[in-house]
Amino acid sequence: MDEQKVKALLERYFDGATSLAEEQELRRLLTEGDAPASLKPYASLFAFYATERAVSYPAAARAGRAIGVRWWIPAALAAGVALLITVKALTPTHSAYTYYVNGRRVYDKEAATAQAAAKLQMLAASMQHAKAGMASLEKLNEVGRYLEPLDKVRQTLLQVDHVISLAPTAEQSIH
Amino acid sequence: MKKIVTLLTLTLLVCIAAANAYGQKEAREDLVSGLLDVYEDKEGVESITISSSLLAMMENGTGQDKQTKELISKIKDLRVLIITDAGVEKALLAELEPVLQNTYTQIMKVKKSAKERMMLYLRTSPEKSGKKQAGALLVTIAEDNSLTVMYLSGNVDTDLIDAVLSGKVNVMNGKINALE
Repeated sequence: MDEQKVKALLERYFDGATSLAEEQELRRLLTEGDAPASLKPYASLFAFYATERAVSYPAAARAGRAIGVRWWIPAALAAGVALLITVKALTPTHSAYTYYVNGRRVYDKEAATAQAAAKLQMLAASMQHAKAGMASLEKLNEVGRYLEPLDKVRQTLLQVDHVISLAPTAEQSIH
Repeated sequence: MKKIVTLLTLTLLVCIAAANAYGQKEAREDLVSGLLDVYEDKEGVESITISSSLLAMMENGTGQDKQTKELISKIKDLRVLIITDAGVEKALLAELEPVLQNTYTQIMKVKKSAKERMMLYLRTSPEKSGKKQAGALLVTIAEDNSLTVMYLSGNVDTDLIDAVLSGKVNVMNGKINALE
């Protein structure tokens, strides 16, 4: 073993200046044969590198490392599920009808709808009564319309009266 | 793991805040409905609510012309409360009064006798696309021994009010329909 050559290669190796061929040469020189005392530590180092290079991880472990990096996928799925659960829980459910009598829920659709219908009819009947009242008002309006010509006559008479009041009296005209 | 938990917590907080804000908005716009919710299951009260899902069934029913379907589609909710307990009646009217003063307009008052009165109120929602739309019609009918409160919500316009007050909108056999 050319000790000087090995030392030169080692210096270049630790400076990161060796080529692949030089690294392979250095590895060969240190692992094959008996290295001198000054190079034994480096021989042990390169022997360790060779041993570790031979170690391989099983496929499952390699896959686990890859998925672990993409943590946001399960996080996004979990967030979406949480969002759906929240919306569902907070959204009130409506049934077609609800019917309460004295604080108790009654499940009788016909009774509920019959009662609602009765009240709507009562409302309409009350409105009919109101409309009858308004019909009386309409009759008053008709009377007003009939009286309108008389009102015009009254206005005319008032104007005549005003004119007469402005005209000079007979005595004033004579004088 | 810590990042997932943090993300979940933040998502839940946002959802809860949004739902709370939405609920408060709905409550502000529909105070009368909220009040009726409080009183519907009290003693001395009979309460019926016909929801829009039942109205949806009628929309798909046969034998209805387009105009009738359009009329029914305007109704979102019909609620009727019949109160026979004098104490509950007084309490409800006391709570209704400030709400009606602030958000409703009295459009009609009919007095049939000393103890029989009907009042109509209209709630107008903000203008949308240049057209003013009423949000709800509230009718209170006070009789000798009971008070009836009817609440109709939806796109309450003059056509729908006219149909309701003239008895054209009815509830029969679990369906709300407009009679011709």
